[in-house]
Amino acid sequence: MTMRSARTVALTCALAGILGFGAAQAQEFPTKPITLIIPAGAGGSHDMTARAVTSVASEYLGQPIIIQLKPGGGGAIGSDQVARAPADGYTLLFGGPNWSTTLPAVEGRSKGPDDLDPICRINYSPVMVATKPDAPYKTFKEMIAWAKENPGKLVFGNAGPWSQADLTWKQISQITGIESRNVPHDGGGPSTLALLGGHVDVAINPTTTFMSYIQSGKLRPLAVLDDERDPNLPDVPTAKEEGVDVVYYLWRGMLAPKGTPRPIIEKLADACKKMTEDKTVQAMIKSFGDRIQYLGPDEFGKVWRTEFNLHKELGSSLKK
Amino acid sequence: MLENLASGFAVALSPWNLAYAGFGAVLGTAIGVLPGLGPPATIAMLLPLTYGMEPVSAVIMLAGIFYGAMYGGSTTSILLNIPGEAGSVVTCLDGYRMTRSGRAGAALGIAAIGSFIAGTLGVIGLSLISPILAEFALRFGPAEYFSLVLLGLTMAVYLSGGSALKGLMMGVLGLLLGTVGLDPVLGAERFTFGLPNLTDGLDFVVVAMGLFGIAEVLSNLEAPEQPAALKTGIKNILPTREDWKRSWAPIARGSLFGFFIGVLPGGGAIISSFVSYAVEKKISKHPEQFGHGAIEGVAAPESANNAASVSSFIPLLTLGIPGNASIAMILVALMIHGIRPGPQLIQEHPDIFWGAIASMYLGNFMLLALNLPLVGLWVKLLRVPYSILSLVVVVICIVGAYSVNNSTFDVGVMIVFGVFGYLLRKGGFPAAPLILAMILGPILERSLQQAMISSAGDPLIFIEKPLSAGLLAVAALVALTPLLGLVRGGTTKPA
Amino acid sequence: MAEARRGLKSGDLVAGGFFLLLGVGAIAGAIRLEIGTPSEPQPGFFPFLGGLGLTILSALLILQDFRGRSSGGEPFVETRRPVLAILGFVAFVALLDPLGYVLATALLAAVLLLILGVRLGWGSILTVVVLAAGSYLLFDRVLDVPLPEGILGAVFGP
Repeated sequence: MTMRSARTVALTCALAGILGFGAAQAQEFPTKPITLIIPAGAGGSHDMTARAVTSVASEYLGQPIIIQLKPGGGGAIGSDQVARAPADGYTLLFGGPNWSTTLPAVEGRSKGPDDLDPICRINYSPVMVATKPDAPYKTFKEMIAWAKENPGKLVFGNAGPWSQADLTWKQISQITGIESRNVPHDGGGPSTLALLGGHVDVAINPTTTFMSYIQSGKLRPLAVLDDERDPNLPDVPTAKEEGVDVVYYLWRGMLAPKGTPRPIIEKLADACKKMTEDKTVQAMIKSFGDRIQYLGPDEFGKVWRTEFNLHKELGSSLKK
Repeated sequence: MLENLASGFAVALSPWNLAYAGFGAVLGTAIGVLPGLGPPATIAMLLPLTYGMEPVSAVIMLAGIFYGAMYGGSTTSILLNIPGEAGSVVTCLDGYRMTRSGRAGAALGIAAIGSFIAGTLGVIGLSLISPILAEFALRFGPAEYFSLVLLGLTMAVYLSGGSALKGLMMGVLGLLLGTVGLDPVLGAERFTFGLPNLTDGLDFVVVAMGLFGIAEVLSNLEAPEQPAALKTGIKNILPTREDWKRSWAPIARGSLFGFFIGVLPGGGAIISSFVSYAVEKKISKHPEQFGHGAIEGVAAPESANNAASVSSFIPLLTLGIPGNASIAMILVALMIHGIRPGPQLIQEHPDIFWGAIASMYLGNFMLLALNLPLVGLWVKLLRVPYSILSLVVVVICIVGAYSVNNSTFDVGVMIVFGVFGYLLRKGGFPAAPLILAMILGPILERSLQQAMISSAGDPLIFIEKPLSAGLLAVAALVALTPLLGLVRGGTTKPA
Repeated sequence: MAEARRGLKSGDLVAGGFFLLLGVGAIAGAIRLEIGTPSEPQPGFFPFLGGLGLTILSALLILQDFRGRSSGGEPFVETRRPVLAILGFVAFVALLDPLGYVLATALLAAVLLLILGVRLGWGSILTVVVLAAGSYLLFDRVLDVPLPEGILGAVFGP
């Protein structure tokens, strides 16, 4: 045996050892309950989705997933905490685009794909533009035209700085060149109330938030900011169809501290996939008005990275 | 209407639902008494339990926790000067003074009975006019909110007594303290000094426990003998006939204020508690007793915050939008069962709407039956030597502050505000306007900015809207009294 | 009486000076955050208004004091015990994480009892232990409010 081949053998053994050890670790994982940190307040769509999905965790993972709410700093506080946690798969973050993409990309706060590893995406909610039924414009195009005729008159209600509503409205304004009054609100609930009360003219929120008001005729849908139309609202066009290419995925997913071993990530992603395929979970998600759109670690990681780069660009072009 | 309510009672009177309502009420009272573990956290903990329940049972139990906590919340304010929740800050002012003069029983009794009456009146209002009230709440835009909060803050300065100038200073300081953390428009860090613990802002529980609880302990250390009244004079456990005569009208007015202002999401319950207090002080024949143990000063705000806790369900039940964190958790419980509260809830799920309302009538009875006997127990607790009672205050404050974010940092903040509160007291600066302004500051700032942005900087928006103009006019009227004193310089009498 | 009044007046002067500085500090901070215009308020807009208000009101208080008008307050009766207690609280905050809740609270309770003039006997030791351990059991174990374990946690495990 030559020196060289001996070294190769040693290296292979070592590698096999690491891999074997990793695999063994993954087989044993998890040996204790997993903590899932939601960096947002109680009762939001992230909270509800996480509670629905993790309700069956022990069936597919052998251990329960315990939800811990850690709101604050627009999600930065909980995200920072997970990024600092040991990369052993026992402390996970419930990710969303507000705190896992936009905030780190635009403001450099919270934690993005540079500091966290993707496990999986669970679903996403399309967001939409809506107005009051008595508004002088009936379609998205008419709204843009109205805003152009009355520069600085249209009052838009966003759901917080750099939220889905704020970001997409800034994009729409940039593309179409409209000027409006962008009024901040404390989240989707308050901006919906402001729209219902006529204190703002237009608002953007997840379709699920608007749906019951649309059905009861209290709000008029203008456009969906998704790749395709919403099956529940087949007559409402996408913004893309109306000539304004703005798409936003309000996704929810699981993220882990950077450097979590691959076998553990795969084990978690696999369990998560089975949880999302569970009938009771699917029924719950459906009752929220959402549907499961699972993506594994690699595909989701790519989507997330692309989104991060896009928001980074948007941030630098939209800021002031 | 009556038919609906009758069917609601049929749902609520089922043995299981009765048991859930009772369990929720007892648990709510317990967590109301123990500050730190607030209703939202408790409801979040119990949420998984409700997955297997009927949705109406889930709502009955969780709602019981929420309004039960409102009953219990006054207890620590009255006995130990620790406001466990925002709605009970005002109760400290006269409730604790009553305890110090041996009238803890009357204060607790009137709080429980006032809560019961207000809660019941609130539920009657809820079953009669929720849709109308929801429309009323929708009319509150940024201009109206701004004017309402301004009115509330004017009243907060007024209710503090003493020097109007010092009250104003504390109010403004509270507004400034409320800006610590991320700003609501652009998310920039303000006055955080690079401390990550401050990005969320100062929590009112932490500040209030320092300013009230710890400051009181420090102040008592100067003369650590048992206050004479605590040692001897606990005579009547329940309110006297005289107390009743003085309290029934404040309870009725407090219920009204609480019910109507409590509908507004955000600060409704808090604003109503001190608006009702200030009104009582203003119309009272003996305003000088307020702040020194006037029973009206307990009856009115406690009634208001309970009526408000009932009417705060209206935005959820009729619009599907939760007005505070506890109600948001109840929304989650419903959503888990596939029920989305909203404009169609009354039609689509009458059993839930009317069942929940009927259970609130019953829950209020249970709470009264539970709380009146407890009054005797609490009063006995006061026989404990003051040295030990003050340790209990310290421990409750420490655990309460720590549990807000599970962080020692908050305990430190509480101690800082304890020392600050002690010094404020020495200087004759009232703490109540500070804490109320701190809670309401963010609402004031947000509504000011929203109004300014949506009117493109035109301040006339506050006067053009009739509701807003009316509120501002009342605020100006309230401000006149102390301002006159200010112009004359100084206050009533030198100390 | 005259002495007490002079004491209070200078108290207002000190307080007014302190809040004046705080107000000026808030204005400076607000300017650093950018104030913006009413129609496009920047983060410093509201703090600027607050700082301005506090500065003016504090100046008024100082003026009032110079004009010889007192505005209430309580005189210090005894400062040694409160100061000792404050030192105890500060030490408690420093020791809470390393020692854990139970030990730190027991120490603080013992110190406070000493300040209150209670003699350390079996009764007071029992009080301290029951209070610290009892509140820990009630909040941490029964009510699920996690409290710092500290060195006891390292010894006895979670």
